[in-house]
Amino acid sequence: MPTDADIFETLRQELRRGSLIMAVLGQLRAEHYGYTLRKALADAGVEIDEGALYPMLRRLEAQGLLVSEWRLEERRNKRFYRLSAEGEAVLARLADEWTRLNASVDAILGKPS
Amino acid sequence: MNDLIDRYLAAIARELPERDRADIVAELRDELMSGVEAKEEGLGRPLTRSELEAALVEFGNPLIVAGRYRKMQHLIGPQMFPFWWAGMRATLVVIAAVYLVLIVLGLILGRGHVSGLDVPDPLHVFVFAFGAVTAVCALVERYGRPEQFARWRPERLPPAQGKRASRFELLTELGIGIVFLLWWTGVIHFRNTVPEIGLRIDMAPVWATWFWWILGYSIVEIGSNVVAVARPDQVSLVRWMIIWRSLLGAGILIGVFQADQFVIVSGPAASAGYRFDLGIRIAIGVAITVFLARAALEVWRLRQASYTAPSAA
Repeated sequence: MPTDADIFETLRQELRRGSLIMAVLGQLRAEHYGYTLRKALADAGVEIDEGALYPMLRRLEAQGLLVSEWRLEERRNKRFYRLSAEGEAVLARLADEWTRLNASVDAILGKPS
Repeated sequence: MNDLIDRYLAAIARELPERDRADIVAELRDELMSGVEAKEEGLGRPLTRSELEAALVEFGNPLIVAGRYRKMQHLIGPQMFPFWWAGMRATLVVIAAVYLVLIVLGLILGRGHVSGLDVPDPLHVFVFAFGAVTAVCALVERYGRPEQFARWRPERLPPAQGKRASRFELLTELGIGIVFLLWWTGVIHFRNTVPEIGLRIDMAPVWATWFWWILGYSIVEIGSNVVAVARPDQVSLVRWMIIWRSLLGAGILIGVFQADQFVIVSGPAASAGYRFDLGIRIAIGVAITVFLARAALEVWRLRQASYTAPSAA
């Protein structure tokens, strides 16, 4: 029997799932490699584990929303990601959708938007 | 200590597609090393082996880490799952009905006759059916278009009211029909001898005369049940199919009824043969009555529906 905490955690994960992609795309308007991207997201209050982040980066790159290149930095080869032109356009649309949805939910919850 | 990281990355690499393996492992190595270096910088000393082990455990089980890179993350996804479930339920009900009929026949004919059936172990059949339905759905999920399954037409919904057979009844009838067809065509056999008393029962020539008619009836019955399951909206069509197949069944049995003999009993109990024939003659009479009654009932229901349809519209 799931407890209230379990139910809340499941719902929280569902709520976060879609917004993580937007956070990653938003953060990659500036170039990052995986480790610094994760740190930057964490500093902004969006925790994401590496097991979810790297497959997501590959998927977004395969969809043409990101571009990447391998470069030597701090004695090691690192893969740097940034938003592509197509990614910027998709992010802008997603941001509009996010604002609309947020305003609607806030209105339902009785919060001033 | 780097050997532990190498072993960990090798375990992940083994589960990755060869094309992307080197690329993914290089990226994961950088992530791991960056994490280790950051921890060491914070502690002001190198990590101990147990601390490194804890970091790897936190990074994740190699199978799970590698699994997240696979295109296919599930065998049957949420879009396909309801169809897998419905298909599995229908398949299992038909199989259960087939075996239920075989068990009942076995009990009626005696325990010894059950072992004489040339049918596979029910557990094997269930496992095979489970695998077959799952494999078909997984193939659709992987290579097909699961969204096609979700398309439906409101006009095909069955009527909300009115007496009609439940899905369970239809599937059970389908199972019984399949058992009969398999037996009639010789795919499965029931023992026709009772060695303990030297009794042997064979079919009389009348059944051979009507073989193709009965085979045809059996196929029509299975077909009409399949239509009833697949297209519950086609109420009139299904009723007409029941009417025609019931009349066909009654006609065949009236023809069979004319014969003098239905079974040939041999052995020491051969003298009791007339009793078998009498029992079968009564059973055929009852079956003819049931067929005709069912046809009449469906005609009546069709007429009722035609009276109520205009007012419902």
